[in-house]
Amino acid sequence: MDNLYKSLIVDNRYKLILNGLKNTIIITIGALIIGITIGLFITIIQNNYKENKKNKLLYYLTSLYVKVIRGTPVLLQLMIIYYIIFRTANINIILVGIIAFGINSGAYVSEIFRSGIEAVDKGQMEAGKSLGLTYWQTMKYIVLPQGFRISLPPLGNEFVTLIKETSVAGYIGIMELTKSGDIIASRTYNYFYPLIITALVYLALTLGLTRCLKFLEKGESSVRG
Amino acid sequence: MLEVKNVVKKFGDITALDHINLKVKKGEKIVVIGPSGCGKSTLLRCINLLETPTSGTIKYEGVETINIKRNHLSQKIGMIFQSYNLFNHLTIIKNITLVPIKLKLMTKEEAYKKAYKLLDEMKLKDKAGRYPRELSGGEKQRIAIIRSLILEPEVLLIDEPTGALDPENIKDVLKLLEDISDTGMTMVVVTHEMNFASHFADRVVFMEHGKIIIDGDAKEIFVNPKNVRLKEFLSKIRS
Ligand SMILES: Nc1ncnc2c1ncn2[C@@H]1O[C@H](COP(=O)(O)OP(=O)(O)OP(=O)(O)O)[C@@H](O)[C@H]1O
Ligand SMILES: [Mg+2]
Repeated sequence: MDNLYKSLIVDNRYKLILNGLKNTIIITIGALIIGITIGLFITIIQNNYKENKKNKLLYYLTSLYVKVIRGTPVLLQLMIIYYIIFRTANINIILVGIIAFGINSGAYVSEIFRSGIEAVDKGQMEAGKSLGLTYWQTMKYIVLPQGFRISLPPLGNEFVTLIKETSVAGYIGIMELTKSGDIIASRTYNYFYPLIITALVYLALTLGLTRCLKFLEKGESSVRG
Repeated sequence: MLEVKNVVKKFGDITALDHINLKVKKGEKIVVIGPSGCGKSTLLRCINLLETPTSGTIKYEGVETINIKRNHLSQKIGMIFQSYNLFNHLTIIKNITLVPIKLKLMTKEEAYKKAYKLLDEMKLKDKAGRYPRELSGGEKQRIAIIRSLILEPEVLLIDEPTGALDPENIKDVLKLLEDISDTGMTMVVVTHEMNFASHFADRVVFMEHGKIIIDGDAKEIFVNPKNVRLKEFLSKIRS
């Protein structure tokens, strides 16, 4: 009991946890926004090449990007971005985290969108074209909205994955949730409560989010199907 | 008004269309028949620019279709698919009005007004707010036809419109096609419904292995088929 007290109350240590939680959420959401944006662009570029044979160079560049990101550990990417790319720049470290995880997530989100779009029936594009829409109009009004809807559940998983993955950000000194737990543990010379509490906070976050997403999905499918 | 000249379409080493020549006159009702895989769909898809011919030309009123922008072509040539291809994420009314609004052919008010009028005529008005998955196959196909008609095309290309339907729904769709035909619309229909074909068509095109084997007057062909291959095909399909 004394240890629990020390872990949370002494020196207002619970504030460390709250601060870590805040940073974890900021990094995750920021990264997700960047990831979705990058993912959308990559998907559009790659689909344009596959359907119309346009922008071959961009297609190969984006494929390379996806391969590199998916083929290397996220912690290494984070370190490269922090220690090499932003080495001399005077930049907020949280922002570095957002950018690094965003770039990482973009590759995975592009794969999610790609399979979402591939799951849209070919006839939808054909109907759009035969009614007089251009390729781009059909993408915008017909294919992407349907592909996006199909992508929502895996996108939710990506959200949950990101929350957990940002835990490695402590390595470059970002005060996210895991790092906060770690700091409290080293200050109190006790690992049990700080780490278990941290784990519980993660669990509440991921389970709560999964619940919300399930709920949204249900509402969505009962309206539209 | 529509002229297909020496069109060849190859998919790898498959020749789906082998030097096709076909002239469609205004107001004609042409039925295209032939065994599975003979190139019927490919022919319609080439006319509608969903496929590019390997060689040959397709002209609409003297202009090569590849030089016509899609947004203009769709007001000349409409296409109906066997699988309807309604936009799954949109309600019926949006399915019908999206394209004329986005192509700036009509204001939103005009498009809705016209769509409701067409829906009303086909007794489908109560479906306006529904999604495609809530409709029967026959209803979906009739909506697909309305969606094409709102653009006022001059020719309708129709690929096995009843191929995926049960008898009750087939009747509704064929009835609608006849009503459209009565308005003087030029129509090219791929179908296996020989009863319908024999009283609907004034001209029949029989294809085999990517070639047009017979192209002639519907009455002669259905009442007294002389060609051996055609006879065989008809007896197979009727039995
Ligand atoms: N996208 C494609 N890629 C490769 N081969 C194709 C493609 N589309 C059609 N084919 C081939 O071209 C030939 C003609 O096909 P098509 O769909 O035009 O036949 P069809 O007469 O419409 O047959 P059905 O009555 O079964 O609909 C077939 O051998 C088919 O396998
Ligand atoms: Mg076919």
